[in-house]
Amino acid sequence: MSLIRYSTRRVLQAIPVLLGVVAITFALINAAPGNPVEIMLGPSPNQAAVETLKAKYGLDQPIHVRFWKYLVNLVQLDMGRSIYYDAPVTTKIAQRLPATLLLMGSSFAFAIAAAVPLGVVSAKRRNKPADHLTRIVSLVGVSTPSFWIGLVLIIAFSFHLGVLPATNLVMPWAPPSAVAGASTRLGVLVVAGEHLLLPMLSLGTLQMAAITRIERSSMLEVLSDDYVRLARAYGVKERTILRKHAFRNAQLPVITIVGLQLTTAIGGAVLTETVFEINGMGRLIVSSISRQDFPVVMGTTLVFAFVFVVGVILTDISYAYVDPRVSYGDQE
Amino acid sequence: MSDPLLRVDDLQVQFFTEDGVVRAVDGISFDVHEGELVGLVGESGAGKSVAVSAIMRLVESPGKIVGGRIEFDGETLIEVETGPDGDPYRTEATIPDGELRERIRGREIAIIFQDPMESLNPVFTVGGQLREFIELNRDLSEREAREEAVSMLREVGIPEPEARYGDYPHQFSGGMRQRVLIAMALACEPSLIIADEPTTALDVTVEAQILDLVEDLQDRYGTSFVWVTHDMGVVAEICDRVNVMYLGEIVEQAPVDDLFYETKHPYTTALLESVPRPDQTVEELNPIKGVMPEAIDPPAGCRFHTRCPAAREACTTTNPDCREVGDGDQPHRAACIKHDAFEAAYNGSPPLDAAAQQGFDVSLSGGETDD
Amino acid sequence: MATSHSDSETIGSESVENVEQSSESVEARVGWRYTLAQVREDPTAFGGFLVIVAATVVAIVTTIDAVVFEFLAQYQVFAQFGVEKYWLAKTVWMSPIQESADTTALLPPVGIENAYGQGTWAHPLGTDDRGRDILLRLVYGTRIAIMVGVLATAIGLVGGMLVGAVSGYYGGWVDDVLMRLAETLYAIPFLVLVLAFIAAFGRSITFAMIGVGVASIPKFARLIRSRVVSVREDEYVEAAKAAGVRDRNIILRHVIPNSFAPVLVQATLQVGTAIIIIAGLSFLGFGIQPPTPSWGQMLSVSRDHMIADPWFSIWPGLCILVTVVAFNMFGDGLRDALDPRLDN
Repeated sequence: MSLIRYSTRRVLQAIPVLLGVVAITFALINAAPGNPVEIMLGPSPNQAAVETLKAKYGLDQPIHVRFWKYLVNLVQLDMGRSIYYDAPVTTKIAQRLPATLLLMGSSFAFAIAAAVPLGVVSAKRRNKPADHLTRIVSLVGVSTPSFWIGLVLIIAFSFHLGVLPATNLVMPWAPPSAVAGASTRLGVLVVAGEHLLLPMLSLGTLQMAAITRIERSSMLEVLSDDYVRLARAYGVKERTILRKHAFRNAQLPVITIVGLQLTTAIGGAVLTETVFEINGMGRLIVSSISRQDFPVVMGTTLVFAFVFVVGVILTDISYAYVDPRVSYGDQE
Repeated sequence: MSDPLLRVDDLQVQFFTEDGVVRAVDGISFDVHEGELVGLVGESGAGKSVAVSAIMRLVESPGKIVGGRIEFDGETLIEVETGPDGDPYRTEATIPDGELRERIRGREIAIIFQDPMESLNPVFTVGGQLREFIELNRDLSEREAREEAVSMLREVGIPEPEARYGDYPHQFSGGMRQRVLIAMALACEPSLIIADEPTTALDVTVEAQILDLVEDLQDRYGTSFVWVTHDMGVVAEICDRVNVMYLGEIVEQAPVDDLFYETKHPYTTALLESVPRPDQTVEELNPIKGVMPEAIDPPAGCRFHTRCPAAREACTTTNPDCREVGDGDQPHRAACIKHDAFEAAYNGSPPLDAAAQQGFDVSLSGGETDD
Repeated sequence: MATSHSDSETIGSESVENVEQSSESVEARVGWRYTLAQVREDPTAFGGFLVIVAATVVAIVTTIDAVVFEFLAQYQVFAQFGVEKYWLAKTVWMSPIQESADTTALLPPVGIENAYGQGTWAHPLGTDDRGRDILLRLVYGTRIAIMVGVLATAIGLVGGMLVGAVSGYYGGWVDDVLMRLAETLYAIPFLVLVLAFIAAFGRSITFAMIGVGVASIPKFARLIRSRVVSVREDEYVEAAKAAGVRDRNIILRHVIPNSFAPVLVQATLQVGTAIIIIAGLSFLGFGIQPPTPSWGQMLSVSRDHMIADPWFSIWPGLCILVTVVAFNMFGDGLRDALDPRLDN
């Protein structure tokens, strides 16, 4: 009941932020010195040609007009045209988005699935060897550049052992005819999994390490809280205390950290796509910057920000789901 | 007198910290009979909470029970002896963990902690937590336990218990939460309830209500209590017998009236005199001089001698145990060598200048020299 | 007029000093030496500290060397003696000096053999695709990593302090606007924001550094603002205000010093993050431009030779790892040392 109200409130709060994002990105991109048109036409271009192109891309108008036009178009899901591809920006993004989402989603799932048990066990066996090992590994994990992990994984598994492919992602829903080495739907899944494994590990390790650390410290804190002592005093089994009484409370800071981690995860996705030559949005933004294809840069930035904001809202709602204090508020 | 329900015998609890060994509880003995409400009173840091958490073996590391014996209803909850190598170990008489958990905790003995804000799990409903403990300790089905929970909430005076059952702890006020905790304790129908300063965090009017409630429930159910507090006013109101603790030791033990009217230990006297009365002005206040020393390095001899107005030199060399010093029909023990029961040469010994020993003098009472 | 005002200011400051002694927030100041002592006791934190010091020393030494080299090159000293005599130049800077498109120069570390031959002690970690010694390039890469990481964090810290302090202290609409701005900036994922920045202003390392710095302002601003808000309510600030001390002075001399502790922790950890991000940018080609040695850029080049010489990919990443681990360990240690709860 209140959860729905809370969720709606969060979504509504996000709208002005997204508007702000559009404004800032627009201002930033258009602050670029140098004229994309002149870049396209090469040095010392024909003035007339410059003017025509400018008009074509609407660059001859004052900035607030351009902004307003952009906004209006944006609402209709039109982000302009890519200078390099000569195609609508939205089309390019739509092509690339699934790969990025698949990569991010799977690495996040991996991170959580690995980190939560690891953190809990580490807390339970505090200061024993398992704990120390976990702490070292997670410290190293948050300090390692994800693209380097990708390189090392490729060297180890693709080149040396030759068991996994080094590039590209295959979408699990692709038809068998489009996938080399697969003749059935199941075969497609297998091939997709093979392609996904290394990038997923590469991107997910950093997240996993960060979540493990917070899971462990949160668990330790909760285990010394009064209500845990009370449950013990009333004869609740230690295992039940861990699983039920302590666990739920311990997840609260973890959920918060996951939300904060998203920004790093998206950055990592960009780099991971580059390492594994995956045709996702990350590679799109990088190549567009090199080509100075500003409409695409603008569009991809906005979509990234949108994905991020959605992610944060989802974590906030998850938090409110676990912690009744947020949605029910203080009624004293 | 019949056998006591709970007997604590020479209990010792120590904390092993980086800075040294803290002798938080250093050999205390007391007992609780059926239907009694026994108080455990003293300043902060005296070791009261540690002592009562030892009863159900709830002492958390770095603390450890290193000596003594606790018996409850014929069972040995814990017995620790020192082995030939100097290391304390639990004897075979001690009941195993599993039995302690299943039969004693919650079932025979229940505990109420000090801070009602922190004692309830914030992510579960109040009713749910109550029901879980009832189910666990009274072998009822979920539905039956729920009914019991609701009726218990009503007993402790929570309005609209059916509706409030599904509420979360943060939706209750401090006083209400404490009532819930009392409900939890009573609902499990234990023979003994340990209450660790349950009204300290509440304001005075709420506290009065809680005390009334407890007295009423005690009459009705005949539960025994161990009541920890630092407030002599509370002691006067509800306790049958009282133990006064100072720096890990019990310094006086008596029925409540005897404690107040025939005080036998200087510390108790000082405590009583320090309680502000409405007719006193600030200048007339009489706090105890100095602060309680750290338990990691207690004073030599009698531990109170550094703040005792009646201290003599002999007090620096002997640490008295708590002995029978009374003349009434009920036992009255005190740990002060000025009584005849002790053979220390108190009367011949010159007085100490206690005010010069410790800390600062915050009292503005007349007749004292300010130095 | 001026005299009496400054008089009251002096008097005001004095009385504030006195009040300060009894204020709780002074815990941040009281602890400096104690904090450092605690860090020294913690082995991981101390280890991290040592590594950071070592890296900084290396960075300083290599910077001096680079400056000297450029100075000498400018004055055409090499024309006389030949650059080969300047031992570091030969192995580190290369491009205008020894152009080698022949990738058979790619050698592995000592004791290992690859398609191009055996590793030798002359180049303990091997050579890169242009025959340059990898070990030395890694050492020189430290300079970039530390300098850029620290500078970028400094930009974020200073910017964040200004925004946070003003926002927290004045409250009201100033606070609202600034925090809205920070929130919006924060809504764009970090790397993406920096990339957009680079897209707008250019691919040089300067813009990369400024971009990373600006992108980290919201984080610092929020941290400082919350500290300022809590400190603002403290009595000694009220006393200072009542005594007529100017706002600017209050912020500078009382509010900011007492907000410092958690900010320092965050700054230390942020340097580690900045190093990784900058390496990533260089990896993408947007940060350090060749021939300047940088770990990220070395990793990028190594991609083309992963099969021929996998070792080339390992070392630069290890360097990043070790450096960032050091910053993280030290930052964690600082946080533990500054956390009052952990005493007892």
